[in-house]
Amino acid sequence: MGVKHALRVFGAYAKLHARTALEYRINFLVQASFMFFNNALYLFLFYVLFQSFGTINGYTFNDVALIQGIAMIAIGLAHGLFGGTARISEWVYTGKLDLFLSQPFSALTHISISRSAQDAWGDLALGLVVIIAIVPERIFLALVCSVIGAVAFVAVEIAINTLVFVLARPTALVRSMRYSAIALGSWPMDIYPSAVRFLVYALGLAFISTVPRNIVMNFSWTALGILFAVACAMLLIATWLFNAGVRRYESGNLVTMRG
Amino acid sequence: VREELRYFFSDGLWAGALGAFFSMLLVLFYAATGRSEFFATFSWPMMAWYLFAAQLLVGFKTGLVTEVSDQVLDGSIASRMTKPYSLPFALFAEHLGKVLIGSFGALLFMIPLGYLLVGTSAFTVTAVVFFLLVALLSVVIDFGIGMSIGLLAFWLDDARPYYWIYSKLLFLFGGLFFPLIIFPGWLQSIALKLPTAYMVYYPARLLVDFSWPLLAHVLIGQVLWAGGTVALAYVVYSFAVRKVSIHGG
Repeated sequence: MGVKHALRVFGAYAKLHARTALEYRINFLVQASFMFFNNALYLFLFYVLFQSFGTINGYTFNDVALIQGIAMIAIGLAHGLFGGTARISEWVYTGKLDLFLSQPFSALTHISISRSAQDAWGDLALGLVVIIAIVPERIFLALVCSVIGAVAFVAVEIAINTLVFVLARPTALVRSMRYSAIALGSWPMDIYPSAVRFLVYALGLAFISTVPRNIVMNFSWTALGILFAVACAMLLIATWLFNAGVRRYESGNLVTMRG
Repeated sequence: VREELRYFFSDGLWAGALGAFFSMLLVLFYAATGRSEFFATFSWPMMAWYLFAAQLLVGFKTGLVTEVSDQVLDGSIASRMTKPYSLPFALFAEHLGKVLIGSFGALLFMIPLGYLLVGTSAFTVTAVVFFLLVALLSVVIDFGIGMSIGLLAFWLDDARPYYWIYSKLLFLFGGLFFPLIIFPGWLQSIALKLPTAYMVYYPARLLVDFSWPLLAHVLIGQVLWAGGTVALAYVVYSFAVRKVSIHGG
């Protein structure tokens, strides 16, 4: 089960998701465009705030917009390419995990690539617009940092969803944690006191867009290397948590058909 | 309420803690500005409690849209329509139970956090009592809007994209991040008339800036919007019922 095989499965799923989007193109366009508009409204909230306050702890609206733009690309890539990570808790709770465990392929990888959130492409599109508008001369660097941010976000998503293995029905909790992770991951954390910053850095949320933004503004190879290493470490920890959870899992005895 | 209480300690309580943590971040965001007065109206304690109240009013509501939409998509709503009870009323009761337990979980954390950060000088006992009343009416307005949008899934397959816009409009024109008086005159006069203002801004402001004329204004506006949105939900529901009979659920 090498990397080549995994890439072939990934390619097959990517084709399937693209065909699904084309088949239901109106639904795809509605979801992506509404997410684009939804994020634009969110960005507008910060615009209104900064119009009123000017700068906050040295941060301007452009700084916050860049954080948001990187977060949108990171979350867009994560949900667009690995959308199944957001469904882990639901599938475990409803017993649908059996389907993935019984197949000759890494269950976590399979779950992750088996879904693509159509709205994610709206995230990605607005994120690109934002970084092109704010750092046109550093687009490549911003994209690289966003991709690493996406790895960090996938890790956070997996870790949150594995809570389902130890809690009775963590629906509201998982929903709130995902919402908080998305909100905090795209929030200007460096304006906060050190205690709050420590918490957000320790949970890994700062590595989704705050640290990537700092690297885009003050580039150094060392910082980029550290970001990459941290994101990879987060993914390893998340994978370990999932595997530990699977060992506790008891089959839901659910018989399902997949067309 | 009983259903939600079963999972309160493993689920709802921690979700409430996260809601409180998020509202604290918003409060600290304002603290980072270093100001003692905001928008020429709100003192720092008033502002902090306004933000906590707004988060409480928004935090546990908008899930109704996805719930109704999901029930439409998986067909379970069709079987519920055949039960010997009014489905809209049953959905409202379930929604209210979730909001009450979710809000209770959040309050357990918000009250100590707010007290530690700014004390309780921003509000009175009278304000708290009437805040609870207008918060309840706010849930009714949200139910009317949420159910109308959720039932759109009968025609649009998936109502979630409309929910995203609704939730962000609630953030923006409800006043989750800032009081609506932040807007320039023309936009402010429109925003203050929208149902979102009566769901978040006015109830939160009533808590920190209580007056009897404001209470009367909020109650009249809420009753009118609650009547309008619930009537809209019933109209949409009556059309949705016909849709079920055509496709067989």
